[in-house]
Amino acid sequence: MNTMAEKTVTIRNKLGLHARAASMFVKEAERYACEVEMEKAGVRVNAKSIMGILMLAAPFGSTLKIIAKGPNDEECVTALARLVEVGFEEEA
Amino acid sequence: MPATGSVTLKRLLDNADLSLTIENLDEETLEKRELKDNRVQVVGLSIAGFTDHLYRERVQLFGKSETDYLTTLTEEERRAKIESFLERRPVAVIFTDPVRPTDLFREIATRCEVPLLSTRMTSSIFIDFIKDHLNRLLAATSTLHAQLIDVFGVGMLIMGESGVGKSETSLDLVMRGHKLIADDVVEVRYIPPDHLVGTCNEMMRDLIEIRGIGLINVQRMFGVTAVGREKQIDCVINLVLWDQSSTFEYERIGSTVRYYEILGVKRPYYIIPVRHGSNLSSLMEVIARDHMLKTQGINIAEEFEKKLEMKLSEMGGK
Repeated sequence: MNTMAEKTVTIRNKLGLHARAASMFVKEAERYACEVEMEKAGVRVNAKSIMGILMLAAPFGSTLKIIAKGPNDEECVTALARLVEVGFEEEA
Repeated sequence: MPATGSVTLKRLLDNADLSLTIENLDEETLEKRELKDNRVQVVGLSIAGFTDHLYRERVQLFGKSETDYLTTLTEEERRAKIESFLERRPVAVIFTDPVRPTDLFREIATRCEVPLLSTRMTSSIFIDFIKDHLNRLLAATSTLHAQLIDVFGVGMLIMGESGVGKSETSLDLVMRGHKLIADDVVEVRYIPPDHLVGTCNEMMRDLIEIRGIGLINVQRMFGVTAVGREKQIDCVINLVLWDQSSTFEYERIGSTVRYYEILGVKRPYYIIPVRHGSNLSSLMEVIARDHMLKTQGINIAEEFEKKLEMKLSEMGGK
C-alpha cells in the first residue's frame, strides 16, 4: 500500500531558507526512512539533499510544498513543516 | 515527445543572437503573446491566398519571394492578399533580411493585432538559428536527484539513494581527471529528436557537497578542466546498497540491456550493487569504456555468447 503525505508551508524567518536553515532541514529529513521531496514554483527536489534545498533559494514569504512517501511519512511532513513554520527557531 | 514549455515573444526579442527588431505593436503586447510551437513556417503560398496549410500557432517567416510576389499585384489585390493572410492571425510574422514590412502591411497587421518583427539575418541562416533557439526555449525539462559526470567524454548520470556514495564517487572521478557537471541536482532538457542535455542550476554550479567536509568548489580546487557547463546524457547508473537477502538479479553476462526513460527518451541503464570498499570510480570508468565500445559496435557479451554457442554445437555434434 502506497501512502503519501504532503503539506504546504510558508517561509517565516526573515533571512529565508539560508544555508544553516537548509542544513537543519536536511538533517531533520534524514531522520526518516521515507522519501521526501520539496517543491517550489514547479521545481521539485529531494529534501534529503542539501544541494537540492539550497538550489530552491526560497526567500522570506515564499511557499513550499513538502511531499513524503513511505514509512512514517505523515510524521516526517509534520516535523519538517513545523521546522519551517517556527522559522528554524530563529528570532523573528 | 513534443516540446511542452512556452515562451513570450518579448523573450525572443530580447535574445541578442536573433537580432530582432520590433516593427509594430509594443513590447508590452509582446510580453503577453506566448509561443508554444517550436516549429516555424515559411509563409509561401499563404500570401497568395492559399491558407489551408497555415498553422497560426507557428512563427511565420516572410522573405524576398513573398515580397516580390506582392509587387506583381495591383494595389487592390495586394491589400486583399495581405488581409486574407493576416486575418488568420498568425502568432507572429518575422521579416528576414533584406525585406522589411511595407506601410500597408504594417497597417493591416496592427489592425489584426498580429506582431511583426524583422531580423538582420537572411532567411536561410535565420531559420536554423530560430529553430535551435525555440527548441531550447520550449524544451521539456525535468530536475533529477543525481550526479552528472563527463567520463572520457561519456555523459554518465549517476543515481542512487541518499548516503550511497554518489558525491564521493563524483569527487573521485574528478580527481582522476573527469569533469563534474552537476552534483545532486541535475536539470535535464529534452532536445528533439532524442537528445537529453543535463546541466547544473546556476546557483550550485561547480559545487559538490561531501558529508563531513561540506561544500567544495571543484573549479577552484582542481581547476577549470575539472568542470563542464552541460553534457549530453549517454547512460544512467543506479547505485544500490548490496543486500544479500535481496532477490534482485544483477546482470552477470551483459547480454540483457536495461533502459531508463527520461522525458520519453531511453538510455542504457546499469544497476550497480555497492558494498563497503567498492571502488566505484573504477567501475564508472569501466562502464564508460564499455559504452564507447558498444557505440563502435563492439559488444563483448554478444561476442562471447557466439563463441560459446559455436563451441557447444561443435561438441554436441561429436
